[in-house]
Amino acid sequence: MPDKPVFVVDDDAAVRQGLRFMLRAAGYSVEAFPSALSFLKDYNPRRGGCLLLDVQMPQMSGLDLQQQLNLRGWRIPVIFITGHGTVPLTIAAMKAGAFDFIEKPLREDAMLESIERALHWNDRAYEERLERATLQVRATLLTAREREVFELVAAGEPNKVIARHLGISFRTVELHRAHIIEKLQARSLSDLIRMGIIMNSNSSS
Amino acid sequence: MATEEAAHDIMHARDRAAPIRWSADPGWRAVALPLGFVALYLALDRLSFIGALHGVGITPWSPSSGLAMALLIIKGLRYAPLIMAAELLSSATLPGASVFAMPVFLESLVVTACCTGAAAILRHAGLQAGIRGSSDAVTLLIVTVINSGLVAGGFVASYAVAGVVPWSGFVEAGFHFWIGDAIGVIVFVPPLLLVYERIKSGTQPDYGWASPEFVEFAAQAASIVAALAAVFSGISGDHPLGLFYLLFLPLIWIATRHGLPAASWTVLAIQIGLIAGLEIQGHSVSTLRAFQLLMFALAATGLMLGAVVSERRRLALALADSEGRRTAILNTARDAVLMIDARGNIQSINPAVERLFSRPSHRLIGCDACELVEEMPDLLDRLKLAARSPASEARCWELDARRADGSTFPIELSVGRFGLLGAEYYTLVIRDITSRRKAEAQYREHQAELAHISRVSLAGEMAAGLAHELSQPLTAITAYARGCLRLLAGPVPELALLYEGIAEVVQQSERAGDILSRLREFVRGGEYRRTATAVKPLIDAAVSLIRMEAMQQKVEIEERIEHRLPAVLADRIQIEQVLLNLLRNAMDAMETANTERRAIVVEAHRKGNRTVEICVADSGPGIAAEVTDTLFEPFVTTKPLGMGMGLSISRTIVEANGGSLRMARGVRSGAILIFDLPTADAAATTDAG
Repeated sequence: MPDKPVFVVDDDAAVRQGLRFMLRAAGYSVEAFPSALSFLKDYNPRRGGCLLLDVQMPQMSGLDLQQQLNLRGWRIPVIFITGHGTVPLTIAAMKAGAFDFIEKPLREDAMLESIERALHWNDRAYEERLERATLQVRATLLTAREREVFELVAAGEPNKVIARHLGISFRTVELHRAHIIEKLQARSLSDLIRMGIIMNSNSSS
Repeated sequence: MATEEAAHDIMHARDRAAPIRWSADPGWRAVALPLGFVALYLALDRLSFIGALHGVGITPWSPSSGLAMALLIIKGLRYAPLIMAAELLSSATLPGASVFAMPVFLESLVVTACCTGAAAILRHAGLQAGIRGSSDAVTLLIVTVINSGLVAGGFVASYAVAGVVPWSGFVEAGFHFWIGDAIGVIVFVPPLLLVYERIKSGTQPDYGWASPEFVEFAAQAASIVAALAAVFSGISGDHPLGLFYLLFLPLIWIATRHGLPAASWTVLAIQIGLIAGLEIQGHSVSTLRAFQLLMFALAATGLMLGAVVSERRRLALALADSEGRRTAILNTARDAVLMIDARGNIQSINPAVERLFSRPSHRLIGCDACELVEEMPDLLDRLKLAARSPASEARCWELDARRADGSTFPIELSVGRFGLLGAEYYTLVIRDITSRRKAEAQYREHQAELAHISRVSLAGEMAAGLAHELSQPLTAITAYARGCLRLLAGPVPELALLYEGIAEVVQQSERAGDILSRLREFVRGGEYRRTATAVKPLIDAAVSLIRMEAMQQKVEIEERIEHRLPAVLADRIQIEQVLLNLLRNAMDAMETANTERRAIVVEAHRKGNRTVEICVADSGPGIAAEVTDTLFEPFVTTKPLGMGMGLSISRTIVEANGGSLRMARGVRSGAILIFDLPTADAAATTDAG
């Protein structure tokens, strides 16, 4: 249990090293990276842990990194750190599946509490948020026609009805569905329908 | 005195004289002029038909020739046929003249041809505008003598061929005709030209005498009458022509006093008086001819003398006129104008000099001009050098002048040069530029204020970015300090780690302090000083102030700074402001245009030996063609919320720092703004030189 690592990604050396210093003093095992890319290159999803991520970074920003994580299905809780947390930015980050959002200058107790929660997470709301964010990122891979098919599938329509509705052949619908399952990494048709429900609940919220 | 009167005459001739207009309609004139001419020609021919040799028109004087010549000169050569007609008519109807159709025709042809040729020459010389000077008078004399000679030869030969004049008498007859014809022209043409000139200009004929001078006029008339009387009283003696010289006296009097017009009328009057007197006394034709030779000399003298006098009078008048204008200009000018000689001594001044230097003219004339300026011993040499320069800027410079009480004031001095009778003189024009200097200072102050306000607002716009910039060290400080606290609270504090943590706290505090002081310095107002400033730290500072904002907008800022750039002479803060302005413009342009790749390149390199050029190039959409002309004007903006002051202020700042700001278009796309600044050593050499 003491070996669950905390990863820090921040381009500012002082901030990065300061965080490492403080978290080590607090007894965590800390690994720090100067950029999103170096983290992606180095991180192994099996290691777990949590990620303290700076929002503003050159080249690949914190939000970009999170999308990449979602796309790869790496479920590491991300705690964003930002210099000026605007409300839209916070909402965007949370919708994108962030675990928490902390503003600089940091308050130690709030941060440690957040890290603690992230390392031992057992949070339905976060899980759903993460799932939704992951699905949304993957859904961007769908073509327009595949999206239409997906919506009808998620609504529980049988293939025959979908084919008539869209004016395409039965076989084409089947082909689209296969692609959709592949792109969204669904395990089964029922999983696909579940995904549709999660995504719809998001868009209505 | 005479000059002034003449000037008065010329200026008021139009006011004085009731205008006489030739108001008849053109159709009537077309008939009246030839008819009038022919009638006058015949009348004059008859009147002068005295003592005709061989019964044809070989007379002692022929005023009709003068009339014909005047007509041709004034009206042009197209009137030649009219001359021909008049001469034919005249010769054919002479009383007692044997009519020989052939010689009359031949003689008329010769007369017309010669007169026309002579008139052509005289018109070419410009005599239709009147006799303007002695050269016109000489031309008239020479052309007349030659023309009359030719006419005489042709005329007499025509009759000789017909047998009317014996060939043995050819020379005598020719000579008489010659003199008579020449006198007719010389006596008649000048007054006729004068009359025509006056008619044309709509004023009364000029008889040469101004109205207040009628006493003198009467005296002169009396002297002519007296001289004629004397001539005629001695005519029966042994030397009938002995007293003729007396006639020169009134003529010279009149010509020298009143010029050509009066002389012309006088010659005419004397001629008429002579002819009349000789007619009345009934003298022999030979006496008449002898008188005519003298008369020719008299007429030529009067013409020449009058022309010279008129010419001199006109020159004097022109001189007085230009002198008057010059004086008026110099007296009116607010600038001080001095003339100095080659040794620097003041020769003449205008009233503004006395005013400007608060010195009376007697303490200026003859003084050394160098006394007027502050501390410049080589002024004279510099003046002489500058005066030779063809470029007007080089002949003008600014320096400090000194008043009599020792106080100084700024002036602008221009110098010119002229030579007179081998000596060199210099004109100095001095303008007091105190108020201009004051305005310039005010402008600079105003500009600095404006720049400051714009800088404060710029800093305001960057507040978010700066807050983030500050939050970085603060975050690090908190983290290190918290870590240290934790270490201290632990069982065995690790001193090396503690030391590291506290050292970082200190370092990051300093970093935060640096950011704050940079900002404070940037928004400071007040005095600006151009100092030798390294270019790289300048660019670094500006870029660091905007880096956070750039990062948020995903703009990459690249610096390409040439190695070993010389320092520039500039106010660091102001140039930083210009750079920030350009950087922000570049970022805004790329943000609104949603350009895919967002990059700004700040480049600095040498340009020649004396300047460093700094370019800010972006990958945005570039500057629209319709705003390029007005880009640097205030209140021109392409931004929805822009004031349009940034580039205008930037340009003013760069120019105040001795450089220039301009725009270039990028190779592919994007805008490039370029400014240059003088290097510190280039500026130093300029100041020294």
